[in-house]
Amino acid sequence: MKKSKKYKFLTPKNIFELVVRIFFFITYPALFSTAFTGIKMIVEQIADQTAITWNSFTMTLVILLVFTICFGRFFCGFACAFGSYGDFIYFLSSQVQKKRKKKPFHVFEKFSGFLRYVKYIVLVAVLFLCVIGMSAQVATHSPFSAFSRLHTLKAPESMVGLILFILITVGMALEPRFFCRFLCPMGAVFSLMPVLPFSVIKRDRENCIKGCKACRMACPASLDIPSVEEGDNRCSGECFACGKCIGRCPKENIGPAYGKRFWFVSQIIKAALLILIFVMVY
Amino acid sequence: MRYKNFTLRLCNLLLILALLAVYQTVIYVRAQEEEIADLQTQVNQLQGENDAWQAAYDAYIGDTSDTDTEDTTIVSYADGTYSGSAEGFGGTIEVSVEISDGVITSVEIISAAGEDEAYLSLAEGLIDDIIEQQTADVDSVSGATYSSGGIKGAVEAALSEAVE
Repeated sequence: MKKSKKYKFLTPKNIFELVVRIFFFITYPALFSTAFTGIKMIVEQIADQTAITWNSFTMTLVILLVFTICFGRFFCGFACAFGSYGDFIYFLSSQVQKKRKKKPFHVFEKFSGFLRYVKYIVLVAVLFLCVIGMSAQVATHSPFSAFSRLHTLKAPESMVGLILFILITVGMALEPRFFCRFLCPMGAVFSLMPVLPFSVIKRDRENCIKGCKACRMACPASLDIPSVEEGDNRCSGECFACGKCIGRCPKENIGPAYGKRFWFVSQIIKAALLILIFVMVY
Repeated sequence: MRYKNFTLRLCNLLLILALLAVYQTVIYVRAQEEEIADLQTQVNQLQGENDAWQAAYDAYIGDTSDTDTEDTTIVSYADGTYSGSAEGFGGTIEVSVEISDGVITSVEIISAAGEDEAYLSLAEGLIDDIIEQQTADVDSVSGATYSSGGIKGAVEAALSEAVE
């Protein structure tokens, strides 16, 4: 009996998530910054009044944007190395809290409605710096660079980048998906994409237990899931397509348009497709 | 309205794509116009040079002049294939440099296991510059500084073996 409890977390869903995340973390750790460099390049080229060029950066950007439009932010939820790093940090902090018999941290929960918009400020600020010709400095001092230096087990070159990275790590421990929801400029672009209504997770609100907040509590982004009538809402772009709400709902009320029974299968297909695309292009 | 957000976002995205397409077309047309203007000035210049040569040739007939030798400070390289390596972003980049008739004819990347594919392919643009300018001392590709530095360093190392 004790054994079964100990390995309770080894569900097919968890094993799938772990395998996909570890694969992407090791194989493609820089996709998010590669795609963002694509955006910076386009903006710089427009600022220089030169033609927009097609290279591996813009290609990665287009692949990820099209994928996000089709399937929601599955990339953010499962494939982004920085997201996986953040979730790992939060997992560690939750375990520590558990040992201390306390609830996991949700320090910024109350302000999440406002903080959600900070990532757009970050996006505009970074692109502005690129327009005025400071893109090299941005690249040097970015916490992304610090992360990829550490990923290759080398010391980061910029103190500014390292300090930002450490501050972000602290934030990650205090709030789930801290960076993705509040600061990531690439996440800001993703969240503005028109995710096909087909892929948006919805709930049958009329069937909900009155006052039940189970899905909102399970959601790493604390989102209100739109009702079937709404189709999508203002926050649909913030959903990481992690599917935690689907498993948590006591009335099995939540799912994508094609039905909650096919959710896990669709997740496997999305992962396989994303892996296939990047194996083919790189 | 159902799917209000989806429709709004889709319209915005299409608008941005349309603007980018217009921008790209304008730049393309402008580049073509510039190229035509450039070619025109080149034609005029060559015409002028041709006239000058013709005049010089006419004056030269029956006359002899000394031929001037150009002073070159270009380092000469021994023919062969040389390899060199240097530190890139996440590991060592190894290149092989081929020299024939004292000229760098090709640079190939043998291994670059630690490099990110996207950055490496951007930095590979340097190779054309290196062959064109016949030196490893070319401008790094911005955005791929580490990989650029690795390639330049590796070529330099290879060339140092080739110096006669």
